[in-house]
Amino acid sequence: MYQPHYRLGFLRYLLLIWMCSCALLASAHPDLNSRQHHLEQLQQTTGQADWIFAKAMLYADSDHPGLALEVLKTLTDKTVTDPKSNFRMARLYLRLKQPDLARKYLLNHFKKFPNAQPDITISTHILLAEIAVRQQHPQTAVNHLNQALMLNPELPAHLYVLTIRAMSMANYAATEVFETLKTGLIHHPGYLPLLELNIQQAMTYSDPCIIDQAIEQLLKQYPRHPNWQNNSGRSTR
Amino acid sequence: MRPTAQFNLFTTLMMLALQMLPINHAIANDLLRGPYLQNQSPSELTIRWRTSQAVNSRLWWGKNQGELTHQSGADSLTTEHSLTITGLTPATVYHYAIGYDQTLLAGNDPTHFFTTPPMHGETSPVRFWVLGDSGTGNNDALAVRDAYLQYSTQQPTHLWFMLGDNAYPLGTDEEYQSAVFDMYPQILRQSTLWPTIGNHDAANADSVTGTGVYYELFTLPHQANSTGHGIGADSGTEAYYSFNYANIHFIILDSDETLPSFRQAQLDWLQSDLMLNQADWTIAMWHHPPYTKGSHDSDIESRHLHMREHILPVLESHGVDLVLGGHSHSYERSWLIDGHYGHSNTFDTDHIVNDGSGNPHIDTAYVKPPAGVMSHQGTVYVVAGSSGKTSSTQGVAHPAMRNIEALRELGSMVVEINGLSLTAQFLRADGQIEDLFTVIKNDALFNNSFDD
Ligand SMILES: [Fe+2]
Repeated sequence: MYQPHYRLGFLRYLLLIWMCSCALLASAHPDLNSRQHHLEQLQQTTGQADWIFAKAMLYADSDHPGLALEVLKTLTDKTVTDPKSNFRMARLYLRLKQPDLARKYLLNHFKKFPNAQPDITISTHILLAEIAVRQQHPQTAVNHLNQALMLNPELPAHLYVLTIRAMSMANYAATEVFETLKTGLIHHPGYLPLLELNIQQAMTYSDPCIIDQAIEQLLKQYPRHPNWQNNSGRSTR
Repeated sequence: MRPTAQFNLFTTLMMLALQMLPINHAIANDLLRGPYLQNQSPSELTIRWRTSQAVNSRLWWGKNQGELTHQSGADSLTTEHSLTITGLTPATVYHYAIGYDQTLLAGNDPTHFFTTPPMHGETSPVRFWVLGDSGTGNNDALAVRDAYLQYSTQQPTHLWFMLGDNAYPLGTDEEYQSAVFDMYPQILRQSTLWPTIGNHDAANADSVTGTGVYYELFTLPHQANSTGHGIGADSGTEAYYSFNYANIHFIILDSDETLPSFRQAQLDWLQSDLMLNQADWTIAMWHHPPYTKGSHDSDIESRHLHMREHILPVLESHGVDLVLGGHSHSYERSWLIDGHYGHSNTFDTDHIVNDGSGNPHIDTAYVKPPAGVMSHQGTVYVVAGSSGKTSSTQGVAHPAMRNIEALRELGSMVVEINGLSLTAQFLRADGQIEDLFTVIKNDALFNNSFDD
């Protein structure tokens, strides 16, 4: 007899906290009233971690990073039981300019969820690479990006560009950079930044034939490209 | 009784005929989703659908209903079917059917057809529908849909767009089923849907890696230039992309993803894409509009600020004509304006290129010079995020939006382009036209209005 009442009381308490936070949010931003409905839906249809995360997102979107951080901190290793929430939390920490906390949860991913779907593992590698670049650790960035691209070579083209830039920062040999460029261009033959990096890289070989080939490769995709269509940058055979 | 040779021949011919034609004896339940049209170009189209059981994929098509003489297929067993037809004739109506083996699941009837776009650059009439924040799957979304279908009974929808938040609250597969696939089945099978990612869709998708529900559901032109979908640059991602339809260049951006390297890559791509663009019209869209005082405030929220400060200068310097956004669940629309990238309190008359209504029934249409891509000749900005619900507004007008407060009214946008004339309308859920503006590209008119 006692326990159900206790539970009801606790639920009421939770509801009160939630309503207060919504009222507070609503006063900060008119649209938060309408989002209250979404939070209700979330609370009904998702787990506790999802709901807390949604609340933190709401604060972050409404320009309240401090409140977002406080809410986020109520999510502990115990409540984060699925890889998606773990990743979302890391994303939000990164957005809230807490790269060390973000990295902690991202590294946690490999430990806690070794059998997670490859998609989340790939996303985790990409975020770790982003943090590494910001913290001037290009070699770490290259390692993470290479692992992501190995898991899925058809990832968006800009990730190849990021890898090549990080490789240059980490002083990789030209031949290794060329290999990554080649793979990138197999999957994204018409991606201009890769085609232009290819020309730049060809120039380091100072072999006119290689340079011409790289320019031809770009012009094949973009015959009207104003910077290259007159072959102005072209070497003389 | 011993069969005669004549009977044998007849049976063989019948069997052959039956093998060539799809047979309609499937259980309706087998088809869970679609068919829906994706990634259309003048000569190519992808058709997708979902079945309850893993079966092979078959697609039949032809220029006349009942004569679906072309067939393509994939033998792998799957519940997620996606087939691309190539070698189509531009500006042509095709009928089609989908199924597996010789079993027809849908089509070969008057409602399953598509029209290929004209060749890039051609100036044939184009009519498109724009939905913003439509993903509630509720009666409000139904009302907006029905108002459009009623309004368009005699007119084609060449293509249609979603401005993001296409499925609330988390953009899951189930939510997409009810808010998109069960909501718009007829138009999905006749006109190509070009989606934009919104913040709610992003809850179950990662734009940086192009993975998650949104990216699994849609086939988008990340290689537009190299596959003939556009005259621009390959984006290398489905998160942001461009394509051409007739004399229009459409650009769809991702305003939700905040990772700096992603934003930079999008901006770099946009610059290349616009540099190569030569279309008469350039229309861009993304979820978080640059100017709004609807349920969101573009003076405060960082995604709006980013798009206004970093994306707008690039678009305007390449002569963008129309920019569409959602996120605020209301309707707002600017004058023909240019060069405003700051806080709303810095907007002044210098930013107004034409302070008329743009409605030729009230005063005059907006006029721009005719040569396709000319820098800083004025852009009209629209917020149309009330296709699934309305929400409270900031209670003040954004000065760029003609000093008119956000309209809290359910509705969608209907845009018609005929050669060098563009007319856009906000169609309310009750069937009334709330706002209309026309932009004309005309040398003589432009010079006259300039002299005035
Ligand atoms: Fe939104």
